[in-house]
Amino acid sequence: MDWPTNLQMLTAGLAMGSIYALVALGFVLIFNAVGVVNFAQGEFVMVPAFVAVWLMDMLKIPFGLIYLITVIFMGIFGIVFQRVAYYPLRNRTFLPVIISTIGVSIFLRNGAQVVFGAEPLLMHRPTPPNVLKITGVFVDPQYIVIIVCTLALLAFQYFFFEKTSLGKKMQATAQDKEMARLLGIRVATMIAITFAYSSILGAAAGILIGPIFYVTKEMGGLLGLKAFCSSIVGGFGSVPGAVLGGIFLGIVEVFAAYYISSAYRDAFAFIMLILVLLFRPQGFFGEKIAQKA
Amino acid sequence: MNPRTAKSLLVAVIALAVLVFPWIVNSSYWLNLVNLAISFSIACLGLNIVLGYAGQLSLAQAAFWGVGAYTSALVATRLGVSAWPGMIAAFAVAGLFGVLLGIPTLKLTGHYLAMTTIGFGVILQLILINAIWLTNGSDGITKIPSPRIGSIELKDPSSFFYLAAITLILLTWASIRLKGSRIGRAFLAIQGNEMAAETVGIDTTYYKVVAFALSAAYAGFGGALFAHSGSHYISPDTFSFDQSVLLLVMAVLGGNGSAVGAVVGAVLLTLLPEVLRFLKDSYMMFYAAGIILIMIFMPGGIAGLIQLLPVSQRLRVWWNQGSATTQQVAAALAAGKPARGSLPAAVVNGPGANGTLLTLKGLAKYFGGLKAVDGVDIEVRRGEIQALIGPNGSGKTTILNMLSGLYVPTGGAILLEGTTITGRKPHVIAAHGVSRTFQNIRLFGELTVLDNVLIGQHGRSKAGVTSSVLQPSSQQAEEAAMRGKALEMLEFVGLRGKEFARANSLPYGQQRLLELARALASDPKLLLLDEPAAGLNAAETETLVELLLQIRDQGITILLVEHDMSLVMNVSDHIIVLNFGKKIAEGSAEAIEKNQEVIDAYLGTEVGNA
Repeated sequence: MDWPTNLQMLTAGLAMGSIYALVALGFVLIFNAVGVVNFAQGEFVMVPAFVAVWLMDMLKIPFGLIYLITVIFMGIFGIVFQRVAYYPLRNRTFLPVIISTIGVSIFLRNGAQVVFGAEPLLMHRPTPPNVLKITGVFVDPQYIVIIVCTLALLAFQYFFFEKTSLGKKMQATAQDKEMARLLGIRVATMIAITFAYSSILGAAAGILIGPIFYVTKEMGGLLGLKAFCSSIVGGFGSVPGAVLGGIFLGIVEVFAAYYISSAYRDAFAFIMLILVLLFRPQGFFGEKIAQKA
Repeated sequence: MNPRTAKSLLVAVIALAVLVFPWIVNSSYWLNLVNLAISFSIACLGLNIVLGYAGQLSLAQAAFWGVGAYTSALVATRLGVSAWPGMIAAFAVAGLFGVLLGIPTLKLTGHYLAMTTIGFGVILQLILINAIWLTNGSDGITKIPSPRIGSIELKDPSSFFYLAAITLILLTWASIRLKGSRIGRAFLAIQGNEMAAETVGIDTTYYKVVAFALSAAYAGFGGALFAHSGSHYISPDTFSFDQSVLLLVMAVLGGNGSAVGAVVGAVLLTLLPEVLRFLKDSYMMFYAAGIILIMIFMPGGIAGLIQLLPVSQRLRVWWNQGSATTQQVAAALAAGKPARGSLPAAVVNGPGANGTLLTLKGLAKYFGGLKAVDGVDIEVRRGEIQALIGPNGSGKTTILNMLSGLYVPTGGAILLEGTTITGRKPHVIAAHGVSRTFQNIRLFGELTVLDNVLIGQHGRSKAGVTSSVLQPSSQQAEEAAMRGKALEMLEFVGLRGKEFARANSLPYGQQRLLELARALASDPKLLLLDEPAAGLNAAETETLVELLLQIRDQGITILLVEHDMSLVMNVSDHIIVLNFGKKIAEGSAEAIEKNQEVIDAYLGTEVGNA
C-alpha cells in the first residue's frame, strides 16, 4: 500500500465530500420544508462562484468582504428563487415544481453564459498556491480550508437549529405546516428563510470549490446531481444522512477513480446510488415510512 | 354526418396530408427537421405513457433514445445487415434496459425514479464516450445506412418522411388505444392513487415497470429513426441529460396524458428554435423562462387548454357517441329499471355457506414502542357482518390495513379460508378475494365513475398489452362484460346515470357509494369497510344499512369498522371490541351493549342510559 498517496486521496475525498455534503444539505432542507426536490440546487453553487469571480475582478476589496457580499446576494437569490419557481406552484403536485426548477436551472446556466461569457474563469485563491508537505503527504491547502469551513458551518447550523427560536420554528414548519400555522408561526416566511439558507449553503460551496475548478456554467450540473445522490445514499430527508452521504461519496469517488477507472469517475456516485436503492432503499440513516391508510 | 363516416374521413384526410406533405414543403432542410421532430415525437409518446398515464417521472428518455440509436446503428454498420433488424432491435434493447432499470427503482415512489434515470443517463453517456471498441467513442458512428424497401432506398428526406410519418401514426394510435383499455386504466389508477390501485388488485410495481419499459421502447425506436435519417451520424453528446429535459418539456407542454398533445409539443419545440434564431445566445433563456411560465399558467399543457373549450367538449361527446361504451351505457339507461337495482347474484360462495372465512391469530403491529395492535384473535364467519369497534387509537384501522396488506404485521397470522396471507402484498390479498374501502375516500378522482368501477374488476380480467392495443374480439367481449357488470354495480348502489361524471365531482355521500361499488366489482369473498358511514347524513346512512344487508344476503362477508353505534347495532351479527390494541369483548349486539367493560372503555353512559 502506498500510504502517502492514499492519505493524499483521503484529503481530496474529504474535501470533495464536504462540498457534496453542503449541497446535499441544501437539497434536504428544501425537501423537508416543502416536499420538493430542487433540480436547480447545482446552480446555487455556480451562480455564487461567478458572482465572486466577477466581484474580484471589479472591486479591489479584501476577499473576506467579497465572500460576505456573495453570501448576502445568494440569500436574496434564494428568496427570489422560491418566489418564482416554488410559490406559484405550491399547491400542485411535485411534477410541475420539479420541471419549474429544471427551467430555472436552464435559465441560470444560459444566463451565466450571456452575462459572463462562455470562457471558463479562474477564481483567485485565498490560500497559497503551493501544496503543503505534511509528513510526506502533499496537500492542497484549499482542501484544508474546505474541510475546516464545512465543519464550522455544520457546527453553526447545529447551534442555529437546536438552540435558536428561529431554527426551532423552521424545524416545526418542516414537520407539520398546519400545526405550525396554528401556533402562530409565519409558515411562508419560514419557507422563504429555508430557501435563503439553502442558497447560502450553495454560496459556501461555490466560494470554496471555485479556486480548485474552473468556474463554468456547467460546474453546478453534475455537482448538484451527485449531491442529490449523496442525500439518497445517506437517507433522503435526513440531515446527518446528507452530510455523511456526501463525505462517503466524495471519498469513494476519489479512490474509485484512482484504483478502478478515471474515465468513469463521474459514474461511481450513480452506481453507489443504484446499489443503495437495491439493497438499502432507506439509505444509511433513513427510516422506512409507512404510508397512512 | 355520423361519427363513423367522420372517422373514415379523418383517416383519409391524414393519409392525404402525409402523402402531399413532402410536395408542399419541398425543402430538404425543413423535411429533415420534420423527420427529427417525428423522432422526438415518438420518444415523447413513450414519455407520455410512463409520465402522463402512470404518473412516474423519468429523466432518461434521451438516454433510451440513444440506446435505440446506437443499437440500430451498430447492428446496421457492424453486422452489415439492412436497417430493419437494427430498428426492431432498438425497440427491444431499449425496452429491456427499461425493465432492468425499472425493477430496482419502481418499488420506490416519487423522486427515486427521477434520480436513478438521471444516473443512468450519465453512466450511459460515459460508456458511449469511453467504450471506444464498441461505440467509436466521441467520434461517433458515421455513414449509417438508410432503410430499403425492395430496391428503393429511403435516402432522401421526403421518402424517409413517409416511413417516419407512418410509424408515428401507428404508434400514436397504439398509445391512444392503450389508454382506454385495461392496461391503460391500471396505469391511470396508479397515477390517481397508488395505494387504492394496489388494494383493488393492481400489481403496481409490475405495471410501473411495464409502463417504463414501453416508454423506453418507444424512445428506442425514435432513436433508431434518428440514426438512419438526417446526417446519418450519431455521437454521444446528442444523448445528454439536457436532451432528456427537453423531451420532458415537450411532453408536458403538449399535455400530460394526451398522446396527440405529446406529438404536438414535440413538433412545436423542435421547430421553435428556427423561429427564435434572432434571439441568438439568449435563446435558451427565453426557452427556460417559457418552461416556467407554462408550468405556472398552463397546468394541462396545450391539450388541457383545448379540452377546456366548450367546442371541444361537444366535439368529444359527438365523437364518442358511436363507441361501444356509450351505446352500452345508453342501452342500460333506456332499459328504465328502478333507480336502485339489486346486487348481481352468483357471488363466490352463495348464501348459506357457513364455517370460518377469516382467522386472525395473535395478530400484532408495533410502531416503534407503540403497540397499536397487541395480539388479537378474531374469527370471522362466512356470510356474516362483523363489526370492529373501540375508541380512537384502539387499533381497528391498523387491523384492516394488515388484513388488506398495507401493513406487514409484527407478529401473528392471518388465514383466509385456511390459507395464510400474512404480510402478502395488497394486490395478492385482493386476488384472494379481499376488497376494501377507506376511511378517507380513495377514488381515482380524475377518472370517470364508470372507469373507477372497471378498475375494480382489474383482477378479474385478463387483457394484456398486446390485446389492449390490437383489441381482438376476445378483448372486446371482455370489455363489454366488464362494462355490463360495472353498470349493474352502479345501479345497485344507486349511481345510475352518473357513469361519465368525474369521480371527484360527485357529492361526498355518492363518493362513498362509488367506493363501495368499486370494492364490490372484484367479486370479493370478504369486504373490509373502514367507517363507511363517516360523513353521511341520516338518509344516506339508512341507504347504506340496506346495502350492507343486501350484500351480506348475497353471501359476501363483511368486516366493518364504524363509530356510528346505531348502524353497528343494526347490521352486525357479531361485534368485537378493541381497546389499546387488545380485544376486550365480543358477542352479539345485545351482549356488547350490556358489557360493563365495553361501556367503561368505549360506549360510555350514553348507551348505558338508553
